Amino acid sequence: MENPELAAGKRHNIQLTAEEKLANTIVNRLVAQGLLPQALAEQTFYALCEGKLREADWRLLAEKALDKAARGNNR
Amino acid sequence: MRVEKLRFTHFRGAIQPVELTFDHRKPITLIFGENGSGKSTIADAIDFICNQKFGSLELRRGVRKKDHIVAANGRSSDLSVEIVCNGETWRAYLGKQKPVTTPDNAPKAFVLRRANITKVTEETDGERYQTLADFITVANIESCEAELRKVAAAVNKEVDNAIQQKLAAETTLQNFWVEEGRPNGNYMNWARQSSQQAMTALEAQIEADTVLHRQLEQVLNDDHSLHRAAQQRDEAVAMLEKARQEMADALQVQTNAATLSTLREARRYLQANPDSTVCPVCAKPEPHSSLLAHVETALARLQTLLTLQEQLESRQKALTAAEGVYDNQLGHWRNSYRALHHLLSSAPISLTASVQIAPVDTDIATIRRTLAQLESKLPAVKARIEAAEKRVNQHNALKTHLHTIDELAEVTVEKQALAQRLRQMHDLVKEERQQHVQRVVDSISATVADMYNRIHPDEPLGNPNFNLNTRYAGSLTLSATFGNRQAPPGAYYSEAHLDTLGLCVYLALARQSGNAIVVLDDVLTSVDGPHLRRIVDLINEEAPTFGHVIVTTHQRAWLNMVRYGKGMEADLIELYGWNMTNGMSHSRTPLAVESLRTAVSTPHLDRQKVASAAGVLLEQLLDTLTWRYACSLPRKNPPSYTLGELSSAISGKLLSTLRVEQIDSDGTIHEIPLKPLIEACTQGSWIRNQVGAHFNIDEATISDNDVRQFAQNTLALADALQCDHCRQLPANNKTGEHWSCGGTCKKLRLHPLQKPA
Repeated sequence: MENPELAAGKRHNIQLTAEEKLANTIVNRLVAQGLLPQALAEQTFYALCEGKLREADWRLLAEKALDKAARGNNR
Repeated sequence: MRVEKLRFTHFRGAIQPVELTFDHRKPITLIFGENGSGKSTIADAIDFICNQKFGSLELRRGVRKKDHIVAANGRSSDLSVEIVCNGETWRAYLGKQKPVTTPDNAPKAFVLRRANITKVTEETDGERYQTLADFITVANIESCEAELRKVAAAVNKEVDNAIQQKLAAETTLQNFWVEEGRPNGNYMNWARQSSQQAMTALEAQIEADTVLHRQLEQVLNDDHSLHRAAQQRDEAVAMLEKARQEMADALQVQTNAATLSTLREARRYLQANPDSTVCPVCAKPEPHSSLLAHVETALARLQTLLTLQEQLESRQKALTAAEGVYDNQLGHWRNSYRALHHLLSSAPISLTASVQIAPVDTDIATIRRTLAQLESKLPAVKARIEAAEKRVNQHNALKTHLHTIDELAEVTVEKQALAQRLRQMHDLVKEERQQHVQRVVDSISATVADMYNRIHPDEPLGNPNFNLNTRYAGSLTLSATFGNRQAPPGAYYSEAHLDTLGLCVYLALARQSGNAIVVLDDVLTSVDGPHLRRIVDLINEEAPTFGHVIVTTHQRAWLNMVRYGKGMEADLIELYGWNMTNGMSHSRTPLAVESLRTAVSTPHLDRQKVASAAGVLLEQLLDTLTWRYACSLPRKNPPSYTLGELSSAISGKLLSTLRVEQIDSDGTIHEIPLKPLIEACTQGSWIRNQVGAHFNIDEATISDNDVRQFAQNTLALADALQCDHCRQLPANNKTGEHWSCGGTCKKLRLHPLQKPA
């Protein structure tokens, strides 16, 4: 579930800031609970770290997750 | 991040440029200065360049930060601050709104002032949270969380709106249903069934009725116009008859009416033939001008007849016109009636079934009787159209509302799912963020408690503890134990306890940031000697975890503690009185030992100064030893002792066992017995009294060499007792085997640990 880039960062012993650590935890949990599509995990992580997730972004993320869930149910 | 240089100009009290050079090998810098010497200006300059803040001005009311940050003699554009850390330089100037530092990755600085302490320890939970928010919160993620909270609320509102709109549509349907007398037992069933009914027949009926109604109105209008045209024609006939009668009456009076006609003809001829020279009637030769004059004269006489003749002609024309209008209107009327007749015969309707419809080519009066009967039916036709239209409109409204209800039901389900999803996301983000902040707070709390207990060991007031108040956003409680109970520290702590608690909080926060510059701006004014010593120990021990600790103080005790190597290895900077001409003045302050060494090595010996300084240093060294070994001294108030008293307090047995071990950087241990060094000093201690302390005739008998020797003996003892590395006297007995120098150095050991029995 972990963001590949973050995993790579860990392998290279790149130290995450407190904000990055928290963003990573949040994104991982959102993905694990099906609240965020894995494909959007990375961009969500960076947007969280930079404080750039606005109302419309959250709405779009939730809609995409719902859409994905609906498509999954239809299969 | 160790500070090497700090330069500032036209900043606060710096009316002249100031440059401070720090000894970057030392983790602590002590800046001593009496009140008003510029200590806070230095702290503010660091805050300005490192944190882009207005320093102490941020905490004061009634000041204009942007104006008052500038020195009294300067302009905003003159202000500049520069800092050099680890070989890298940053510069700051006053921007439009706030300080601007270039490059923008300035070292982080924690600047603690007394006002901050009050905010942390004595303010409300909310204000405490705000004060510490920068340190404990994750601003970017909190900003994203706030956006998530807003969108979750917005979607909830959308759900509510959709539900309200659906409810309104259902209420409308219900009202229709009630008006209809509650058929089918359920308004939705009724509405769905009604909306399925075909309206084609009803719409066709409306169409037919509307066409008939419109055509009937048209015929009636045309009939009205025909009436008016007949009336106007009859009036024209009457007027013509009247004119004829008037002409006949006039002709009875004017018998020569025939002449009138002849004259008018003659005038017309003469006007048309101006060259004629004969009378057109009798052919008698006559000039044209006299002929026309004669004709005009005769005609004037016959004017009345002429007027009547014109009136007659005019009325004849009017009659002809009225008859034309009437014939035209009659044509319209018959056409309209023909169309109506066609409608009634091709699609008869029940409302007109009882009417006897006259044929199209019958006389006007018969047709008018038919029209009169039809006109009486008009209101009924109109009412039937309106009733049918109402039913069709209601049917359309039912369909529209049912469509709205179905659509909103679908939208509501979608939006409810979205709202639930956003709520789950928000709960998750909030929970993680709160846990993160709580972890940070817990960590700080543990560090604060540890530091506080090191300053106040074995005291009943202790164990300060931070906690996020989860019931309120942005609320941070601070409590401590008092015996068996918990309460806010402000309730029971003394001012000194609150000061040290605030210090511990800031040091704990600074520790979170690792390599930060920590500035303590004259914060410890209320603590007593023993607590100050433990605070110094704490700062010594914590200093390696920070980039640089800069302490400003006006307490001379602290300055002396450093100068005489009694507990703190620090770079010393002393500020002198500030004035309007030079602004701030400062110099590096040498340790007392270095001061004396410089004075002794000067070719021209200042005898009094050297003897006095050596005596003070020796007193301080012996004071340390007698204190460490609890040597017996006579009780005094205040407890100040002469050199003689101090030297005789050290017993012979202790003197024989006193030794130091100095450890080189390669680990080699050099052992130095102290007895010969102490004896050499104390044997010459009288020189201090003779030369350095009092007026004495015998002073003249003492040579410069004797004075120099006394000082050098004292320096030898100081060099033995002070660590080569940290320049501290042994003060730490935590090993349980010996005394050692402070902090993490431990390169000097003093034996024995205790006075021999």
